[in-house]
Order: sequence, then structure tokens, then C-alpha cells
Amino acid sequence: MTAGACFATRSDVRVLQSDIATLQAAAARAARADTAQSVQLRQIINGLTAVSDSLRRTSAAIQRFQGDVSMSMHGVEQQLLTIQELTGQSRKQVDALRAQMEARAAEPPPAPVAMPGTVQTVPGASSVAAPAGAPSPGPYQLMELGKQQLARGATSAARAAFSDLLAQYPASDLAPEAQYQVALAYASAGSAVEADSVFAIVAERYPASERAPEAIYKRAIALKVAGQTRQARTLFQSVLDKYPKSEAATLSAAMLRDLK
Amino acid sequence: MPSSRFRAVLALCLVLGPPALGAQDSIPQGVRVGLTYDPSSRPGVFVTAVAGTNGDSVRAMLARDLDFGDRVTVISAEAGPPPTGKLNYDLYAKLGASALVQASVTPQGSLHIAVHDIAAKRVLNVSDFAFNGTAPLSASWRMVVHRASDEVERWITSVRGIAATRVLFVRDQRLWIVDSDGANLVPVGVGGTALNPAWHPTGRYIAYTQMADDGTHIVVRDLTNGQSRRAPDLGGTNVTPTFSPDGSTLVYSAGDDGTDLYAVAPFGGEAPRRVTVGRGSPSSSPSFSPDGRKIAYISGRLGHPEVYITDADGTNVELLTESPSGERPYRTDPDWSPDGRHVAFTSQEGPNLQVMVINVRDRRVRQLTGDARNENASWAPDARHLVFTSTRSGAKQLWVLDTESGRARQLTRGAGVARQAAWSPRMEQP
Repeated sequence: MTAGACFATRSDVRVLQSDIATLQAAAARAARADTAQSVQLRQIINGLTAVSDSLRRTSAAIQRFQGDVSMSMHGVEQQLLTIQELTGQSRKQVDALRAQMEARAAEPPPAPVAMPGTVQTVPGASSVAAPAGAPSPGPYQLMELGKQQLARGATSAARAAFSDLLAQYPASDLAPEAQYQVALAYASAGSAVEADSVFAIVAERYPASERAPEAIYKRAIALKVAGQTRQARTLFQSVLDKYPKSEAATLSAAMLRDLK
Repeated sequence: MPSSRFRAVLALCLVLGPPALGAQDSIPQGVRVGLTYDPSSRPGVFVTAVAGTNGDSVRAMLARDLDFGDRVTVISAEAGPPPTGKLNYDLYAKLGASALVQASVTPQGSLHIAVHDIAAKRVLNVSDFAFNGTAPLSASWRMVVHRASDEVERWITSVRGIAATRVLFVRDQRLWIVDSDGANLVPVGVGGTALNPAWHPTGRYIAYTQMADDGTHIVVRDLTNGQSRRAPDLGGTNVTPTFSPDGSTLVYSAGDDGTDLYAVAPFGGEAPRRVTVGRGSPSSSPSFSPDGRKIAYISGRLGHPEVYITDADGTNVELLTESPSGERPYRTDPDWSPDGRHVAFTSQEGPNLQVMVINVRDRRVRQLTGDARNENASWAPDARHLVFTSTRSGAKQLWVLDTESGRARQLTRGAGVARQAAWSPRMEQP
């Protein structure tokens, strides 16, 4: 085989040269094709890079937007909270003003001053008018009075004022608050059983009142302190279910986590 | 004030020596026989020279303690030698004294004190206060004398004094304790930066904020042995601790996005209980009402710090320091008075911070300070005196204010900024 290879004819060489030329041409074509592909790839990459940059910019813009929206929402929430607080304070001030107005309205009118040398007489009436029956205090007055007594530690007097309010003005807007304050007065006096029962009344009679979730929460706390964990858990859960946006619900959720 | 002639006569009589007291000392302890104290006036009290070792120091301390109590007027006159015989009541009456304090350090190591009712010419009360072997003039020895002063004040005015108390405060990020008369200044010796100190109602423990590389922590420290334990870290910052009046609960502020108040057992036990719902706004600086039912604290829920009160269970939240509509005042550092009637707080008034008190019942506010910057007030156990930080002498130092008379005295001096004072309960033990 070696000798055969060494004795190759001129035609064999030509064939070989032709094959080489063909291969070189094929290689050149391939190279040209690679270059074209490379250019295409580069164009594609450039395009993808541009798209990527664009996406990145869009993503950043979206993130900024989300952040702005989040901040705005947080700001709105804070403003709402502040408005709620201010509304609560304004309501308190209005309540106090109403109490003052009621007090003023309850004052007897000033007695007419008799001019010297004159005698005012009305046929069929005595010269001294009989004092009219003292008007009973209004609901705002009774609320103020009860709170003042409670702040002084006079829990019985406070309860009496709140109970008067409930008895005389059962349809008043202040009725739920008065009922809640009765419970607080009992609690302040150390009468836990009575306080619990009145807190239950607050939740049952005035379920739409702001004090309802607090009343249930207070009952749950009392049960927890007494070691009645299961019942306490039930009440904490009911605050969460019925009043999920209340502050008492947030406190109840924390309690439920601890009681697990 | 007594005239100089009266003083001279008194000094002469004291030198000559009144008759013996022996028979008067036989009145049983604790029997009250007369002196009527009118809170609107300050009865004159004369402190005689004190017989026995370190008698001069005892007399000076008794007189100073009574003076700092602001309920009596201590008559300044030469004491002369300690009286040994029958007292010349008429002479003391001419000096303006309603009561006379006669003391001696006994060989048995106790402080014997008799208080005389000048008008009735008889002993009002008498008692012995044991030094229990404490080194003379040491901090513990001094506290025995302070306790005696407080009892004397109670005998005369029916209100116990506040001499046997201490003030815990921050100086240059470290905790220090000083007696309420300004003596016996000692470092607490806690490592690292410490802030917001508070007393346990027993006076044995303190709580404070420790600032470390890994954040802020609440630490409870036993002052008798130096042992400390960390309260649970509740995430983010943990600051402004306070104890409940019965000592069973520690409440502090913690959180990341805003802070809320949490209640824990100070010596371990139950899981932390959330007290406030700030919804992202800061809540801090809690202070219990004396019955433990309510907590005064700072909240920024209105967009600016105000003092609120809440039931200790977190319900029944109420704004305590209301402001005219549209104003955005800065109120902070509430401290509920031991009698439950007032809450002291700091308020931005013009360019400076000032100390205010608000009546919890009728919500009337009274400004107590006006000179320089005044802040961080803490009530004394008598619910009458406040210790606070003031720049009225230049650098921030602690001052004591009598809220009834307006009299102020400087408590701390020296280099460094003194602030965040907490007045202790009465120290029942040395």
C-alpha cells in the first residue's frame, strides 16, 4: 500500500488539487455564511439588548409608579386616619358644646327686675312667680357629668348619670357610649362580673357602634385573664370576623397568635 | 422671719441649756397629740443641734431635707449645743416655730428623733431609726437619715417626705443615680450606650434602652447584684420602657414601620401582648396611671406627637392633650403623677420646649416652666415635685421643681449633659 501511494499518477494529483480547490471554495462560502450569521446574530443581540434596556426602563418606571402609588396609598391611609382622629376630636368638642348649650338652656330665665316705685301685678297670679320645675339635664350634659364623676373615681355617681341618660334618652346617639361607660364604671369599681355583663349588652344592643368591638375585646381579655382560654379565643375571633377593620381586631389577631 | 434679737436670745437660752427631756420621751410612739397642719401655709420648724457622732451632718441633712420638701419653713438660727433639759417652748414660738425637731445619735447606733408641738408644749412624736451598722456618712447611712426626715415631715404635715429617694438619669449615654438631695452621685455601671431609664416600683430593678451594634434592646437590671436580662426583642427599635405600678408588667415601644406599645412580664413568662394599634404611626413613652388601669403615651396618629391615654388592655384610646384646630403642636414624654391627678409632659412652646401638666379630670393645662429649654419631667413620689432637664444654667442639667410654689433647685452639676431623669419610689431599704 505504501508503494502504491508513492507511485500516484499526475491525474491523481489533479484530482486531489481539484478536491482541495473545491474544499477551499466550500470553506470560503462557509466563512462568508458565518460572517453573515455573525452579523445577523449581532443584529439580533443588539436588538435584544435594546429590548432588554427598554424593558428595564419600563420595569423601573413601573416600580417607581408602584412605589409612588404605594406611597400615595400610604399617605392616603395616613390622611384618612388623621381625618378620622380629627373627626373624633371634633365630635368630642361638639359634644362638649352641646352639653354646654343644654346646661344654658336648662338655666332659669332671669327674673324681671322691678323698677323702683312700680308693682308688677298680673290678675290671678301672685307677685312672686313660683319657680318652674327644674328641667332635667340633656343627654350631653348627663354624659359629661358621668365622665367627670368617673374621672373622680365616683363610680356609683357616674353609673347613675349614664343610667339616667339611657333611661331618659334611649334613642340618643350617645346611648351606646353611655352603656359602654356604665361597664367601665363597674370595671373601675372592681365589679368584674357586672362589667362583663354590661359589655355584653353593648355588643348585643349596639352592634354598629364603635364601642361594640372594644366591648367584645374587653370580655375576651377578662376571660383570658381568668384562664378560660377557649372562650376567650372565641370572642377574639368574633371581633376579627365582625369588625375586621377595627383596632380591637388588630389586637385580637395578636392575641389569637399568642393563644395558639 | 425671726429678728436677730430673737435669734440671740434663743442662742443664749440654748447655751444655758433647757431642762431635761426625759419625761417627755415617755409618750408612746406614733401618738399624735395636736399640731394642725394647714397645707396653704408652711409651719416654721426648728432643728436643734444633734448630739452624738456626726451630729452636725445629721442636723444639716434633716434641715435640708425638710427644706427641700417645701412643706415647712426651716428656721435658720444658730443651734447652739444640743438641748438636754426642758425645752423653752415660748422662745421657739417667738422664733416662729410651730414644731421643733430634736435628734441624737445614740451609742447603740441609731438616730433618735423627737418632734415637739410648740403651741401645745408637748412631744408630738418620737422614734428611733437604726443605722444597722452602716458606715457613718456612707450612702446607706445617709438614706437612714433621709428616711427619718421623711417621717418627721409626715408627723408635722401628714404627708411623707421624699428625701429617701433617688434619681436615675442619663449623662453622656451612661446611667447614673443621685440621691434626691444631690449627694451620692454614682454610675450604674452598665456597658454600652443606655437611654430611657425607668424604676421598678420596688426600687430594686431598673429598665432601660440599651443601644448595641445589633440594635436597641430593653434591659432589666437588678441593682442589688448587677444581674441583667433582656426583655424580648420585638423587631426594629425597642425603646422607652416603663413598669406597671405593681411591677408585674413591663411596657415598651417596639416596631419597624412605626412603633407600638407592647406589654411583657419583666422577669419572663407570658408572650408579649400588643397594647396599641398605631397603623404605621409611632407610639412610645408609656406611663401608667397609679392604679395600673390606664397608660399615657405618645402617638403620632394625628400627624404630630400628642399625649393619649388608653386602657391598659389597649381599648378606649383618648387624646389627652387637645389642641385648637389647625395647630400642630409637639407634645412628648408624659409622666402620670403618683396621685393620679395629673400628667406631666413636654410641649413645644415658641422656640423652646417647656414642662406642662394637665389635670386628668378637667383637662386644664398649666405651664410650669418658662426660662430656657425644659423637658423630660418625672414625678416624685409625693406627686408635688418634678425632676426635669433644663438649660437654664447653661448646659443641660437636672433641676427639681416644686409645682405648688414654683421653687426650683439644681440637682446635678459638672461636666456632661444630664437628661432623661426618672425619680425613684421611696427607698424602703438602704
